[in-house]
Amino acid sequence: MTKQITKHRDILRAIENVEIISELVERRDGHYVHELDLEVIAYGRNYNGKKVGPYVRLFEYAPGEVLLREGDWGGNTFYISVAGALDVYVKDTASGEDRKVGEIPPGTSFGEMSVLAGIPRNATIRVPPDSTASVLELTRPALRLLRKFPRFGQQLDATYRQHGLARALVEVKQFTGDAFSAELIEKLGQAARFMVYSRHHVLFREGDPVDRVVFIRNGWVRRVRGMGAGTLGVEQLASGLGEQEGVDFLGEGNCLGLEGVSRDRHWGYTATVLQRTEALEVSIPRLRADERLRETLARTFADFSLADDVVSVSTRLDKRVITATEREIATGIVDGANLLVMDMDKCVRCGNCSLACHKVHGQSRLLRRGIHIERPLKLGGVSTQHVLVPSVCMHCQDPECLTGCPTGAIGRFVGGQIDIDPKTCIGCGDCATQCPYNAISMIQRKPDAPAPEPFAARITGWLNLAPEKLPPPVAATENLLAAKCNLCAGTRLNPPGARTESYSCQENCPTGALVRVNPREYFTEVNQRLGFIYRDQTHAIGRNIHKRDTLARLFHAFGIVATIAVVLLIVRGLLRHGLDGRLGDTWLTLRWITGLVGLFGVAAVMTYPARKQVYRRRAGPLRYWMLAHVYLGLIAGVVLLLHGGRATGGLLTSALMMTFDAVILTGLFGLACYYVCPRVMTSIEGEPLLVEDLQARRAELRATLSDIAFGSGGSLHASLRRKARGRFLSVSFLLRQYFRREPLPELLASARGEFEGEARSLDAESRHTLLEIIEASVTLRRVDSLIYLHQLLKLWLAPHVVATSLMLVLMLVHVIQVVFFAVR
Amino acid sequence: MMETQASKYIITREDLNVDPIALLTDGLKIGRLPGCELVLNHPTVSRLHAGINAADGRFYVFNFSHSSGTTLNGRVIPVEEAEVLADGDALQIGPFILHAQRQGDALNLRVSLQVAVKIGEVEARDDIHAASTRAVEAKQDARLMSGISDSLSVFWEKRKREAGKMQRLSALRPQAPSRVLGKARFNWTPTRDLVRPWPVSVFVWGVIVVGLLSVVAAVGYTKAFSPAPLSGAHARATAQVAPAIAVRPNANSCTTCHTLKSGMESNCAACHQTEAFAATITKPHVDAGITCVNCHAEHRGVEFSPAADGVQACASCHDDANHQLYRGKPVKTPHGGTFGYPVANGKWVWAGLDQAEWARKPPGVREALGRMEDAAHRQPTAGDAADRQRSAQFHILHLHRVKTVEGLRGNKDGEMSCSSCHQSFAPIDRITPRTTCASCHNGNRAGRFQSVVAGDQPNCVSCHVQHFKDARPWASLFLDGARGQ
Repeated sequence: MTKQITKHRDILRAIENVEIISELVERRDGHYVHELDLEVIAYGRNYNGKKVGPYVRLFEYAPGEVLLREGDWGGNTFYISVAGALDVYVKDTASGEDRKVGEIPPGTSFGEMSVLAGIPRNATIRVPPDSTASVLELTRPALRLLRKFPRFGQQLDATYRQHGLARALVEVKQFTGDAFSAELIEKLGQAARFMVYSRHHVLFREGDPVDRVVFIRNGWVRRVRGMGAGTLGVEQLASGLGEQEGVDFLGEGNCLGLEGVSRDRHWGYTATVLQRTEALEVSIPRLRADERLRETLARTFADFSLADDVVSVSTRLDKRVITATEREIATGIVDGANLLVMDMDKCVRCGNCSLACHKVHGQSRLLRRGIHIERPLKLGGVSTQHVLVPSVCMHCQDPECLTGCPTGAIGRFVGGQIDIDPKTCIGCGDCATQCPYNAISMIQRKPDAPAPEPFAARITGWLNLAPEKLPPPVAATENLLAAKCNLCAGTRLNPPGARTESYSCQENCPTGALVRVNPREYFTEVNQRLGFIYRDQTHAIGRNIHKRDTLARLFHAFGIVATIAVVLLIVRGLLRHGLDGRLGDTWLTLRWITGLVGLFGVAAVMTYPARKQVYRRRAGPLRYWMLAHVYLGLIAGVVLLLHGGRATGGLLTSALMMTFDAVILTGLFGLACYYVCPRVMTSIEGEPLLVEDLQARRAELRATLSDIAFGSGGSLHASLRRKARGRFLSVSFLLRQYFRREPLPELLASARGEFEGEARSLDAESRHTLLEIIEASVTLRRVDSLIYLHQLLKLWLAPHVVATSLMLVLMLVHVIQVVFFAVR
Repeated sequence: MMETQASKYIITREDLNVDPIALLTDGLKIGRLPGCELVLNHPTVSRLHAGINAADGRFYVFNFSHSSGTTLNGRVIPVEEAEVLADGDALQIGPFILHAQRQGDALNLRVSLQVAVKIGEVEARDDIHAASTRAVEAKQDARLMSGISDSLSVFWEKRKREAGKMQRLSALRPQAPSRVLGKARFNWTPTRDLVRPWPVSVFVWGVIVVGLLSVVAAVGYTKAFSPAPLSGAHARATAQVAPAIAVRPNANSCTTCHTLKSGMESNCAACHQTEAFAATITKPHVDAGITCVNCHAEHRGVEFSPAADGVQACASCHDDANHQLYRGKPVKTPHGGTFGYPVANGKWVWAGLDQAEWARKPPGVREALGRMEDAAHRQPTAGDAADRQRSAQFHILHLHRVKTVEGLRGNKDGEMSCSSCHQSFAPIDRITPRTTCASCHNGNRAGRFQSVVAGDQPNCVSCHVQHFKDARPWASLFLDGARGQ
């Protein structure tokens, strides 16, 4: 039975007894030297009514109890044993049983690897069956204060690297199929050092002698040949690389410097660290000292590493691959544990993902703008995929947001997701400022409870044709709370015992544009750069529906076959029996059959809008409902058109048929819009933006233009503006945006070219103004063209919905009439 | 506020065979362009690669190169950012290494070219550098073994929000910041994604408008619900047929026929019950559940005549293709499908009556058949037995029974005789009869849907009367004393 000891005296004594943190309770002249730190860590401190700390708790564990379990996510706490030894168990991959690998003596810290590196616990810690143990549990922020003490800092550093090395060695032994004997592993452990490098560190330069072998345990390295070590720009790639130059990327599981093991060589490339990188480094002189180790290492490491001494010449590679890989790694999205990606060629900009998030959490944590990557859909393929990684948490392996949290409210929770505990969050906003992706926002702790709406107001609300009001922004600066994506954990979308995870945004995307993925699998170009031993380690998140969506294919196949079959069947029946000819011995005629099939079809089609109202629990991915909606609509539409025959009937039935036609036509138009518009947009927008961004930009550009025309420049500027306006704000120039689809810089260049003659006749200042006018009006037209597409994607919906509402009522009247008059 | 000041720089070019030079400038530009104070001529050096200036007694180095980078002691300086240059620092720009040393207020820069970059050259110089390489190795080894105590600082240093900076903002983004910068920037803001593009009231109003219109039409404009206009007869407010066939005019009312209380047929019969019109129908039709509206469907337009439609309705059921059974019996195409001459190519095409039908004929007719068959047996020209049987039936049904019509000869009672059809008998005239059938039977069926044409000509109901008064469903034509009427 675990027992928590809450007496402060005991806790202080425990701290005093542990050498590595005893500095905390150091006294001088009867006072604690580090009084403030001690107060926060051991007692907790009140700042303006907000409690920070305590960071430490003391526990006494009974014999045989398990403190940590291998594989569990729990990156918020680490431990220091105070009294009693603890046993370390590691699961044996072969037998699947826990094997004791060591002991933790009193006074040692453990569990810090998980806190620092963002990985699941890598061993099971258990109290021996015949003794008890007393252990201090410390939360993440304690680490921030304690590391200032030299003894603890050095100890932590040493433990971290020692554990890191041990773990890397275990992996090497496992993955290389025991090519290393236990003795060799031990030797390797003595020769190797575990290093942690930060971003931008240059490991070595081209031409330096190869002095060590670098095994990348975790992280990313860029290799560049024939160029400087600095940041590789997109411009440079666009201008092309020479024969002598090359760029590539290497991820974990690769080994650099194997070429220098046997003979003295010089590095053929410069290697720069792109993300925080952990590496195992073995100096070559030491390696050469042991022939057997040298030989085994050279042989086995070469087997799984991609690295060779020559960086491939990039001109032969697809430049899109290099730019995409660079962006994916340098922006850090590749180290997200659960990344949200949107295929913008499929995204119809409906915003239902944001809305779904809003419905589940109260405040949307998903903003549809962010990092934009153009990459080949398939390696070596022609088609380009436009991926948007929007501003939403990707649950980084190495989250920057956790570092500064003073209370430990933000952390890695049971499922591996980064979440914020609202009870301990004090709303300081440090995590929001630290997050590189703007994925954390500050909300009001207790939003004003909306007054219950009176019944009359609700009725008038339903009739009010004014556009819906936006929810109010958070304007307050006090009493805030940090909010971020928590992968819908703890909501009804992920009830306890659910076998797969489900996310409201992904569930409610109508086209399958949005999906949560493991970035290392999703981005093939990145996966290709991992050493073989790490390549197929997967964190299962879900199906990559951008690669293959079997269920959607089935829906399409079934839908097409069913549509054709139903239509053929009915047309054949019509030729045989006519609309009103009885079928056999029954009262059924084809008019009845088509009518009833159509009625049930329409009822089934209307389940889609009903499904759209469900956000807070699982109801099947919306994209399949959408496909069913389309195909059932198609079938019901054709069947009901046949139902009418050649006669239009009276006013009611004519109106019904007309509204019905309107529903089908607007639906088909919408379908066409959904297919065409996003694809046109991705080819001209560059970076996906929200329509309000574009509208704000439009207002800015208009203001710029009118400033120029009516500013100090006088009539000359006004006339220049008129000319540019006539040329660039025309319909034909608008259409050019859709049909030529040039990139904006190209478009601007050609526009400047048109006015070259004019520009030459002007003085320098006016020429500058002219160029400004051209730039503003051309950009304005591009912005316009995008806004129109955004609007088109929503425009068709109103007629579709209105026609549907008219049709439904008319159909109801028609059905009543038929039942009343004909069935009797 | 920092003020940049002019400072002295001493540049020693170890890579070139020139003397050290001293410069006094407020900013030292380093790059490939000749305009730079320190020209480093190599393809990997940018035109303006880096700069050094002095402020408050310190030297700062700026990196201006987007493509190639400047490193200070192995660490890349971010683009357009500055780092303080300390005594003994090594700057690397392309293949050049700049060793910085303070000499009083001046900065001494010793420029050396690093070992060659090209791999081929490296091999060539191997032997030259072998000795120095060994030394470097030893140093590296020592460094590796020493154990660097600050490796964990990676986790603690305030990392720059670089991912956001990576994003090259598109020209289409609004240039003005949407909210004041600072902490308030991270306060939650709504987007238009959070509201529907169209209010739900659009749907509600559609329902309301059409619903109201339907209700109004149900009271004030019933025509809207009518699948097609009523026939003229049912639409008029006055009775026009004399003698009247209905008790009162309908005047376009829906509810005369469509009522909640009783079925359609009783409503029809309630009105169509006058001296001139009997609503009775034959017993087989009653038994089979055929009612008024089966033959006289409404809502077929103003010009539509219920009477004409009634005639055409016969053939819609009485058809060989209609396999439905009425009280267990099929209804076949009448008269075996022939309304004209029953013989084609010397073969009888008329199917004849079967035993059951024959049994229902009056006794006199049945006896006459026997005589006729005997006579037919004696005919040497006649075909097989079945044909003879049909011939006999055919003649018996007509001879001395059926009243003739205008234009046909008959016996003294005005009934059909041999000479009604046959002009001569030796040899027998088989030509004229081909034309006489149609004198009575010209309700031919034609067209794709096999409807009866020429409804005003003699047709089904010319003989088979439906709405009879005296319990005999035959046209008065066939009845005693009908001739001349």
